[in-house]
Amino acid sequence: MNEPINHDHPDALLPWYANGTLTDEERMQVAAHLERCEQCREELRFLTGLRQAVKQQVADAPASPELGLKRLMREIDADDAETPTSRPATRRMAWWQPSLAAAAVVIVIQGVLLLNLWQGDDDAGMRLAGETRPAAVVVQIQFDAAAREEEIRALLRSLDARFVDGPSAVGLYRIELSGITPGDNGALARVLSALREQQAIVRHVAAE
Amino acid sequence: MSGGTAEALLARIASGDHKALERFYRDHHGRIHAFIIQRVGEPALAAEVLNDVMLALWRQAAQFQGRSRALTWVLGIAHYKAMDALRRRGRDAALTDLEDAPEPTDEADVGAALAALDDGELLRFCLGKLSEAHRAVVQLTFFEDLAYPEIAEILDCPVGTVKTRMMHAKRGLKRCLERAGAAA
Repeated sequence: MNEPINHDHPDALLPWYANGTLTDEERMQVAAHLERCEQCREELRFLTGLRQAVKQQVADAPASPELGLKRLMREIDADDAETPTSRPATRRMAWWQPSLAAAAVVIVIQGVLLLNLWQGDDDAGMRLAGETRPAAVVVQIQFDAAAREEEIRALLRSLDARFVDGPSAVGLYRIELSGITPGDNGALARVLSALREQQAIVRHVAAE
Repeated sequence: MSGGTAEALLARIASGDHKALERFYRDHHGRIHAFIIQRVGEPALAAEVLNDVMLALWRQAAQFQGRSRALTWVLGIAHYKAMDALRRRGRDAALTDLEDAPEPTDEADVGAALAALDDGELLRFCLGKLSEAHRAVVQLTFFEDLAYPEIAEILDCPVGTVKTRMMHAKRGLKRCLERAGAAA
């Protein structure tokens, strides 16, 4: 933020001297210059007047929130109802809460990447959470920030797994393990162990 | 941190708290709307963009990492949404970056420009003559009272660009105020 000030005129910094946001060092240097420069004092008077006038301008805008707020909340309710996967944190807090403590570092995989993953699957694509087969084995997973898309894809295919939800507010996803019969805890434990060994790709994984 | 700061509200919004979003809207919509309407000009479009910003805030609050102030982060979203709205309206010309424009050679009479600031309509006219990029820097500096590094973050540009835009904006405003003031 600090930089040498032009010893002729600190023009570039005067607007932020006028709004009081310079660093102490910058402010002192500008103030020292102002003491001996009428041209810059006149410039500062203009900027101070401009600041007051701009504040007055925008203060004229209407500020009643009710209409816009009603519309917003209506759209959010519709958003929640129509696209349940878009905001799992809102509607189904419970599924990721058990992993919240373990997921202190939020890892966000770009949405477009995941969209492509889902669209690229030969099967019917991503199922909405409400459409997930009730008997499916689902685990929660968080990927390492450095994991590449092809690594994630290969890992999921090797496990016959697919995304069914996410990302949550803390970057967790739910994946369904199609190759495991519900109730086969031994197979599930082996898959979890295999996932945990993939430390370059998987940051956290837990059964639901 | 109290439960009512913008940062605390964002944390609650990230967990899906509708009440927190309502509170955030009531507390900050005026400031965000003021920023947007200066970008897009039209009240109807500004209302659309404000709604888009709040929807984005609802969906993306978990991505706020606290590296900047919450309102700086939200104004960055507002800037992006406003630019997007203008592009969709085919107003790309308004977005032209004038950093490479030749420096004006005629310096305005600062005293005459200062006197003209008393005329609110004249200032509105002259602000409207600025490019969108220059007007944004003026508003963030003098309405929001933000430091230039924060402005650079919101506008997603180097701090040097913020200063350059301000220099152009000041010159443009002075010339406009002086000439329009003299003609009035």
